[in-house]
Order: sequence, then structure tokens, then C-alpha cells
Amino acid sequence: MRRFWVWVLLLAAPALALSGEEVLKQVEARPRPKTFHGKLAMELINKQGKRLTRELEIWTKREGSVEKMLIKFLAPPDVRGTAFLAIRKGGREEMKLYLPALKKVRRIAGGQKKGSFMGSDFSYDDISKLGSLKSENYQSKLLREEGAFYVVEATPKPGVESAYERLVLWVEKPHFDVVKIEFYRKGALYKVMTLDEIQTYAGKYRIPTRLVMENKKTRHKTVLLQRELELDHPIPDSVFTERFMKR
Amino acid sequence: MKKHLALALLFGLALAQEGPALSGSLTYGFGLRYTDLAIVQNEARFSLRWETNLEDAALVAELQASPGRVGLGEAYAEVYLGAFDLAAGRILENTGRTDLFSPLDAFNPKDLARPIAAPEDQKRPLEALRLAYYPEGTRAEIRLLYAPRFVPSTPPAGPWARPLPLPPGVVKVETHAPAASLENGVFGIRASTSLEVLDGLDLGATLLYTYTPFPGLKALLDATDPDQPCPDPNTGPCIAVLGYDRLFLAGGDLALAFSVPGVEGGFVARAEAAYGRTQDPTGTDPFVQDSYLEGVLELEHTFPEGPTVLLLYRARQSPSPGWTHHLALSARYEADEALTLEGAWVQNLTDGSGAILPRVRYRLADGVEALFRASVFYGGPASEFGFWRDNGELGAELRYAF
Repeated sequence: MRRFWVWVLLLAAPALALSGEEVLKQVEARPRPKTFHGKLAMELINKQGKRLTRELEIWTKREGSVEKMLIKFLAPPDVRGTAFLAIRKGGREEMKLYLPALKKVRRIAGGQKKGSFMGSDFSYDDISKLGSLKSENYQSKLLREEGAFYVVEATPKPGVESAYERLVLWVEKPHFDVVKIEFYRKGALYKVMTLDEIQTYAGKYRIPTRLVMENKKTRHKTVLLQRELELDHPIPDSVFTERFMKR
Repeated sequence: MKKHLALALLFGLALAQEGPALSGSLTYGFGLRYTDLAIVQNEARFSLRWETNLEDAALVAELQASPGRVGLGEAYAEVYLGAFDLAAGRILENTGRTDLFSPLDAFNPKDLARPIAAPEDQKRPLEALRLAYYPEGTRAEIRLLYAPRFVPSTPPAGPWARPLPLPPGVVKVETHAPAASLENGVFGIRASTSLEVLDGLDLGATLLYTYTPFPGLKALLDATDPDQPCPDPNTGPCIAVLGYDRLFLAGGDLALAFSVPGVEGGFVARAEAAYGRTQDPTGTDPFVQDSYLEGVLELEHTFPEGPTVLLLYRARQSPSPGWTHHLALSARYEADEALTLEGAWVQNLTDGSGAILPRVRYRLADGVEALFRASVFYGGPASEFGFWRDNGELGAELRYAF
């Protein structure tokens, strides 16, 4: 009888296991709000544990293949009014930064997107892609199953612009929540992002309310805490404009 | 219009979502001229900014104080009326695109008493009206500007000031600024848009009907009978009347973001070109300042995990002194969230003079920043920057923003 169950398990296992691609597709298939508005606290923590805090307001909107994001800095006073706009349309992405001291809107070009977002451990690119993973841009491979997690390696497909050579994602099995991402650059682990304190909103959206990005080279950390979330509330397109950035 | 503005503001206040935000800064600056160890800056400055962002309006008022001087900084009300934004008050406006040199950014006066101050600190607000129109469904913006009173820029002062080339018979100098009137106002219009070209293209066109920022010689009068012209400027006695000439400034600007295959890090090219026309385009009238043509090309590149570098070339042509060319290089590197290294080098290619301006910023805590700066000038004694070669400084600034 015991031998029978061993055979059943061995035969069933390949049928139940998911490929890396399937895991990422499941991650993408989770319900996502069409709009998101909220406030964020951003803490920058250096290796000595010294903290600097920023407060941000964020608006995002998704319509078909168009994704828009606007972030405004509310505090501290020396960065108050700075605004970041990202618009992704198909494979094209446009980023702009409004600097209130200069009254100027500056474009963020190509590789500049890999640069630090306002002194944090997130790049402009990381921030603009928060919460959206385009599985078609990656070749993925299931590395292993680690208890309740799928561990998937995702490598950008040729021609896809990416700041990283590969990502390794920890995906929690029952809900396909991404809880950790390792970012590799030049063959070495560069940054690690953990996504925790996941809460369910409107009975269907599972959203991490605490994100920690750690730079393994500098041992510097950035913590993003999400507050006052509003999901699926209508946000007019006029929010994602230079006009609104300057207000 | 005033009534509508007041009503809109009251309506906006009633709909206020958030209370007013108070912010400000306290800055202490110290500067030492290293050629003779003279203290050239020892000044505390305070600013307080009150800002309310309402559903359909914004109110901003800024108080600036330093020993012996209290004044208003930016102070305006803005209402959002559908596709229009209307602002009135003391306004800071940006009509240019490039850095360091921006020939089109000429709406606001500049305080160049200490010409080594940061460009954003040199600009002074101007009492003006601004109407911005955003055509629906486009990424275009059209701004109309009107300032009833022209406010001249403050020329370099003290050891930074150059003597005016006046005839030896001049015993008195009078400066006349245009009186506030409808016809003496400053007018401007700027149109800009964004296009999906390469990694993104921004285009702008600006027309300004303003005055030359600094005064020029308008007349030489007889000091004994100011109704008569000076009979002999070499012997005098004469009164030199300085004044401002009407300037029609027209130009265009662009910013183009692009990537270069095989090169990590992005590029942004910016350019500005302007023609400033006075009533003396040929430069033959000694009592009217010359017309000029000016162009700036700028290339910005951010190295991966490295500095952002700006390379800038400027050319300017006027009947006198003809062509002048500048080259500038500036870099900014945020080593971490606390330490920022900045530096600028400006070279006048025509007379061989130049300036080097390194800065180090260190954020001690949220809102508390220390700045260390130096300035070095070189070149012949009559050259653009060489004239200031004894004005090189070492300085420090501590700023608390709240």
C-alpha cells in the first residue's frame, strides 16, 4: 500500500508543479486595482542606522496597456513640491521630474532611470514598476520550491531594457504574492526587496503595505510604508500631467 | 476680474481639503576672501512660506528677512478655471530650458550683487499676472505674462562691480527706470509641448517684450543746464543719464532625451536660441544698447551609479564686442542621501578667463544641511572672470529648513 502512494505522488508531482513562467503569469493574474491613491512614508536608513524620512503622495492609474504614476513629495520642506511623473505606454516609458526650486520640469532619460530615486535605494525604474511585473519581458525558470514559496528566476529577454541581469523572486504559494525579490547586477547580488504586511483590500486586492529595499553593497536601506490607500476611486487623467506636477 | 478672483478664492477656501502649510528656513552664511582674508559674508537669513493648496486655488506668501532688510518673496494667488490657470501677485517664472546660461529666461529680474550665488537664488519675484492655458487632449501649454512695472536686475556690487565706461567730463550719474504704466509693462508669451520622439522631446517658443536688464548710457547732459546736451563730454561738466532700452526677445528651446546603444546611462540634449532686438540692431547709436543673438547647447549625461554631468556651449554675437564663446562643465554626484558633491567650471573661450566653483553639501539631519563652497577666478585683469581674480572665496553655510 505504501509503495502505491509513493507511485501516485511521483506521477502526480509533475502535473501539479508549475513552471517559472506559469508562476509569474499567476502573479500577474492577481486582481489589481485600476487606480491607486495613497500616502507613503519613505525612510532612508544608512548602515549606522541613521534615518531620514520623507512623506509622499502617490497616484497610479492603469488603462489597457497604459500605466501612469505621479508622486509628490510632501515633506521634509527641502524636497516639498518635488514631483515625479512616469507614463508607460506599450514598450515606451516617459519619466519627468519637477524641481520646484528651479521651477523646471526635467526629463529623466534612458539609463538615468536606473539612478537613485531621490536618494533612496529604489531607482526611478523600480519605483515606476512597483506593483507591475510584465512576465512577457522575462525568461523565467522555477529554481525550487522552498516550503510555502516558489523561487523563480527571471531574466530580461534580449532587447528588454533592464537595470538588472536577473531577478530571483519568492512567490507565496496560496495567493501568488511576491514577498521577496533579489536583484542581480554584474553577476552579484545587488539589492533585495522584501514586501510584507500584506493586507487584503475590497476583499480581493492583496497589497503589501511595507516594502524594504536594501542595497547589499552599501548596506543602505529604504523602507516604504503605505498609508491611507484609496483603490479604484476615479482619478482624472489631468493628474498625470506637467500642469498637476507644478501645483 | 478682481471680484471673480476673490470669489473664486473664497469658494476655494470653503472647499479647503487641507490646512495651510507653513515652512521656512534659517540660513547662516560665512565667506572669506582668501586673497586678503577679508570676511565678505557674515549673514543670517530667514524665510517663512505660507502655502495653501485648495481644490481650485492655491495661495502662496513668503516672507524673507536678513539684517536690515525684510521683504516679500513669492506671494501670489492662483485659481484653476477649467483649462486655465490664472495667477496674480509676486511671481517667479521660468521661460527657459538650459542651465547656467539661459537667454530666454528673462522675465524676472536677477540679483547679481554677488554673482557667485546659485542661479535659483539670484532670481527675484516680479509683480505680474500669468494666464496659462492647457488645450484639452494635448500636451501643450500656452502662458501669457504681464508685469505692469519693469524691475531692473541688480548689477554686481562692491568688488564685483565693473566701472562704467563714461567720458571724463561726467560729474554726476542718474539712472532712470521706466515708470509703471500700461505701455511700459513687460509682456510675454510662451508656448510649449511634448512629443514622442526618441525618448521624448519637449519644444518651446518664447516672445518677451521687456527691457535690457542692466542700464546703458541714454544721454549726456550739461550739468549746468540739464535741458541742454553736454557740449564737450571730455571736459564737462556733464550728467550721464543711464536707462533701460526696450528689448524684444524671441527664441525657441528644446529638450531631447535619448539613449546611445552600447553606452550605459541616458542623455538629454537641451538647446536655447534667442534674438534680442533693441532699437539699435546695427550698434551705431551710442545711446542705445546693442541687439544680440545668443545660443546655448547643453548635453546632460548620468553615469551609472555616478555623477550627472552637464557640458554646455554658449555663443553670443552683438555688434560690440562681436562673437563671444563660453564652455562650461558642471557635475553633481549624490554619494548617498547625505553627501552631495557639485562642481562647475566656466571658461570664456574668447578672452581665456574662467571660473571654478566646487561645492560640497552634507545633510546632517532631516532639514539640516551644511554647504562648503569655494570659488576661483582666473584670466587677465580686464577679462570677464579675470576681473574678479582677487574675489576668490571660501565659504560655508548652515541651513535649517522646517
